[in-house]
This record gives sequence, C-alpha cells and structure tokens, in this order.
Amino acid sequence: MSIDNIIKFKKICDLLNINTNAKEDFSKRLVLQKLFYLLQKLGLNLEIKYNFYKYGPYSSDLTDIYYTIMNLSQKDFNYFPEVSFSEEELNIIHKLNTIYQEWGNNIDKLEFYTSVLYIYTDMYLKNQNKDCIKKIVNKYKPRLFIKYNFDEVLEDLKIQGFLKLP
Amino acid sequence: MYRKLNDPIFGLIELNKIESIIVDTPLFQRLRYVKQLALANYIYPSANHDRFSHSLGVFFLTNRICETLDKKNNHILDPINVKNLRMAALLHDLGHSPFSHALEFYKKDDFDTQKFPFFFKIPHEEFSTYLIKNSYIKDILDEHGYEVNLICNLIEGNEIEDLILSRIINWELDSDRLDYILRDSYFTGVGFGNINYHYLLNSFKCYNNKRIVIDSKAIRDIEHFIISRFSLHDRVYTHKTGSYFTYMLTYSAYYTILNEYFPSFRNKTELDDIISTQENSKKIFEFSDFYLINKLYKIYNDLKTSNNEENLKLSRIFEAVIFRKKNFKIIKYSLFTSKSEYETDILKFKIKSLLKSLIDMYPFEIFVHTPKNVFTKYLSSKISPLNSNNESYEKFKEEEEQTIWIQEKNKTPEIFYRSNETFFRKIHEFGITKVLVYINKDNKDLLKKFENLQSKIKDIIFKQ
Repeated sequence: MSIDNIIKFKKICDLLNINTNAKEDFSKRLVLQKLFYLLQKLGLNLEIKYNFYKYGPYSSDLTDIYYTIMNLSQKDFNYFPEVSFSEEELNIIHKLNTIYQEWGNNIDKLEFYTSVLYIYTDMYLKNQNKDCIKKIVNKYKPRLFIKYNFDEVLEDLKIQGFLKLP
Repeated sequence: MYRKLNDPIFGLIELNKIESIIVDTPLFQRLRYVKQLALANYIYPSANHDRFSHSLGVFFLTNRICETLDKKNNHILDPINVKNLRMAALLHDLGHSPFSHALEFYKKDDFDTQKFPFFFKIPHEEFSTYLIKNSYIKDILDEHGYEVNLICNLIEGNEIEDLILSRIINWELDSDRLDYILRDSYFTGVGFGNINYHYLLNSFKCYNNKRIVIDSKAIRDIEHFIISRFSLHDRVYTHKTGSYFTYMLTYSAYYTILNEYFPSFRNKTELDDIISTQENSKKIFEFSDFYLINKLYKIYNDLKTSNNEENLKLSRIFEAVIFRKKNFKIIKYSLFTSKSEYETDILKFKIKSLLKSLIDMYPFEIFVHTPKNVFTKYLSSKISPLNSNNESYEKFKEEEEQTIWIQEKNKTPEIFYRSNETFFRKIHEFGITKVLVYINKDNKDLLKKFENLQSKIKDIIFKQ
C-alpha cells in the first residue's frame, strides 16, 4: 500500500505544518525521521521499518517517501485518492504535535531520546536490565550520553507514554 | 563436522550435527520445492535452482565472512553469536511462499489481500521467524543452547547489540546478495556474476568494532559485484517476457488464494497444528510450487470448460503460466532513471488511471506492471559521489552506515562510491525503470484503443 503511505505521510506533515522539502537540510530530515518514528511508537502504524544508524533510528523507506514527494506537483496529488484518519489516529497526531512543539527545535534531544527508545524497545539485547541498556546507549551515543541525564530521559519517555517502566 | 554437502558454486558445505538435524526437518526440506527464481526457467531453461540450495549457500558465505573477520581482527566475534548467526543464515528463507517473490503479496498494491491468510500479507522474513518460534524447530534450538530470539532478530534485519554480526547478513554486500548473484548467474547461464568471491571475502575486515570495511585492493571486485547485480536485474529478474510470466503467475495465484483453492490451511490455529510436530509438518509440502501448479491446472480445466466468456478470458492467464503460452502482447517502456520504488509506484498509478476505462471494460485482458528495480533503490540519490564538497557529503550522511566502505592499509575508511579509483563515481545514479503493459493478443479492438492512448502514456513516462 505504498501510495497510501505517501498520501498519509503528506497529510500528517500538513497537519503538523512541517515542510517536506528537506533534501538540502540535514536537520529537517532528522526531525522528519524521528517524528515519524515516534508517531509509530504512539500507535499510528504506517508500516515504516526503522533501523539503527549513525544518528539513531532511521528509515530508508521514509527517505524514499519524502524524496518522492519533493518531485510531485499539486497536479500529481490530484490523481491520488483521499485518505482520512480515525478519531484515535487524529488524537495520536495531535499528541505528536505537542511533542513536536516541545522537542522539534532540538535535534540533539530528538536524536538521543529516540535512540534510547530504540535501544530499549527495538534492539535485541541479551540482557534487558537498566544498567546494561545504559552501557549500550553510552557505547552508541557517547557525545549525547554526557549531555543528557539517562534517568531523566527514561522518565520523560515514560511520561509521554513511550515506555512502560516500573 | 557432521555432514558434508556438495554444491556447484562453493564445493563442500559442512554442517554440524544440529544444523544437519534442522536441514532434515520437513519444514526445511519444503524449500527444495520453492524455486529461487519462480518462472525464470521459462526464459533460461536451467534456472531450476531452489531456496534449499540458496539457504545452504548463504550459510556457507556467512560462515566464511565470520572466519575472515575473526582471523583479521583477533577473535572479534563471540563464538556463541557466530553459532546463532550460522543458524539464522540457514533458516533465513524458511518462510518463503511457493515461487518465492512472485507470491509475496504484502508489497503488491494491485491486489486486495484482505481475505488472504496472514502469511501472505507479511514479509517472508517475518513468516520465517513465525515458523521458527511456533514450531518444533524452536524446541530443537532451545534444547541445543541456541538463542531463538537472537536468530529471529538477525533474520528480520532488526538491530542487535553487536552491529557487526547484524551487517554480515544485512548489508549492501551481504552473504544473501552474494549467494544469489553467484547462484542465479550460474544457473541462468547469463555469464554475469562470475565474481572472485574468495578474494572479495578475504578483503573484509572490521573497523572500530562497528563497521565492516573492504580492503581498497578489492575495488574492481566490488565493481564486479555491483555490475553483476544490475545486469541480473535487467536480464533476468525484470526480463520483459520473464516479467510477463511472473505477473500471470501472481495473478492466477491471487485468484486461487482468494477463492480458497489454496492453501488448505488458512488461519493460525490450522497452521500451528501443522508445524507442531515433524510428522504433522509433512503437510507443509502443500505450500510448494508443485502443489500450487497442480491447483492451477485444475482451475484452468474448470474455467476452460465453463462456457462463460469471462471465465474463458481468465483461463488464458492460467494457460500462460501452465503451458508457457505467450498469449498477450507485451509493450515495454524503458526509462533511464534513478527512480525510487515509490516514484515507480506513482508512475504505475498514473498510467492505470489513464487506462482505467479500458481496464474496466476488458477485465482479464489488459494489465500494467512495473517490475521492481532494486538497483536504483540502493544506488540512486542516497550517497552523493561527485562534487566532493562538504555540503554534498552532509546531504546524505544518514545513509552512510549501510553502504560499502573501503580502506587503504591503515588509513581512515572512505565510502566506496566516493573513491577516486572507482568509475562508480561517474555512473552512480544509473538505473532503468521498466513499465510493461500486457494486452490480450486476440482482442483487436482493445489493441487499437490502446494504440490511441500510447502517446499519452509516453507523455506520463518520459515528460515528467
């Protein structure tokens, strides 16, 4: 359902007032990548697969989507069927918007928070205890690990509903 | 070693006792009846190799890469992890549908699969891990100290703690791709892909414990690998007539699955019962090429004798698959481009919109098909090779991790596509997108109407 994904992506960006023309701007691309990672974590599944890259969770598929959109005209969009979101999906998008307003201008924060979330929930670890996870976060994100307090990050992610911790 | 198997590409492939037990299970033996290249043998008569031999090949190459990295980087890999990686390589295609990618419906947006069994709607890697986790294979692995979760994460390409391990089977130059290039080239006889894999693999090493790099002396071998992959895509995987037969196979299988002629098990309860014991799992052989062809043949005979005009038209599609009948005219448009998969989907969507009235008026008689061009997906706009200024490097830095890195002696590694010594610096964005239209040869009225729309189709394709 790739066409649907493109239309949904564009519609969500419009709702969040995000400019998808991000080819020349690494920061914009990073924000897009991380926001859609968080969107899926909140429960709106666009079937976009993420892997762990140099700057944390990253989806090559999502890159293809926004590079494709950049080459489309309004006339092209007229071809496509309309998509709509359920009330539950709109609530998720609304929640993402709140996070975007709070974190959106801070790419370090987005990179570190999503990296911690990825390592916690998506990376296969032999040992799931907190200290081991802390070591792995430090291994892959040494610069940002010094900048942020790991325990506070976990607490923030818990408050926002991304993590269910005791 | 417990068992040695002879392979025409790699010679002897050695298995330990547990690997041998896994290979002998009905779940694994089924792969003998899943052709690697679906109906490519309709074009290349000897392309009859299967997922069974491919799985063994990936297993062999994975082991070889592990040995090389371990030797060069002073036992960098944990032996327990290597044991699990070998098993992941062996089992990575366990969940492939009959005729491999031809029946992988989860990405085929032309087909409404809502009523399909769940295993047709997920990637084959995911079905592989479903079969492992829910069958007696899990019991065998648990009993012998394997980590089932680690194996499944490696198969699905999810990240694991040890990124080097993950890259060995999930990377631009991984053991899976290397095996299919060597094997497909050998069995089709096209001649591309005669890669010196001994030299290439011997050039692998680890850098900073997080990335595989290749000795810069192997630049020509890397080029050979990439060119071979492109050539195979053009000449075999997206071959004009081969794509037609594959599409007809997909269409006839779609009809067969939708109408519940195939497979006999459809929900998780039925499947779980089949895969619960080795004896029960013999029934999994119904999920194979020969069984599906048998079903197609029966349906073809029913359609052919039904005296219903629509059924007769539909029977032509089955006839194409079963008897290699080229009863549709194939119109091909090739576009020199670097389009992504999504851009190609949009192109198809536009052409289908233009042809909608014909498609509605003549069901089963006109189809639009855009075979996947993987080459562009990996090499298109992602890594900027030219204009070596910092700005263009910055543009694509997220993707760097997944691409090929080379290293000259002990210097800092660099991205292969940016090296001064490779011609890929110049032809980096090369790719071909193909649009194929299949039309009932005998319907002159339809052919004429299509002819009148040709210029508009060309406008959509070439004047974007």
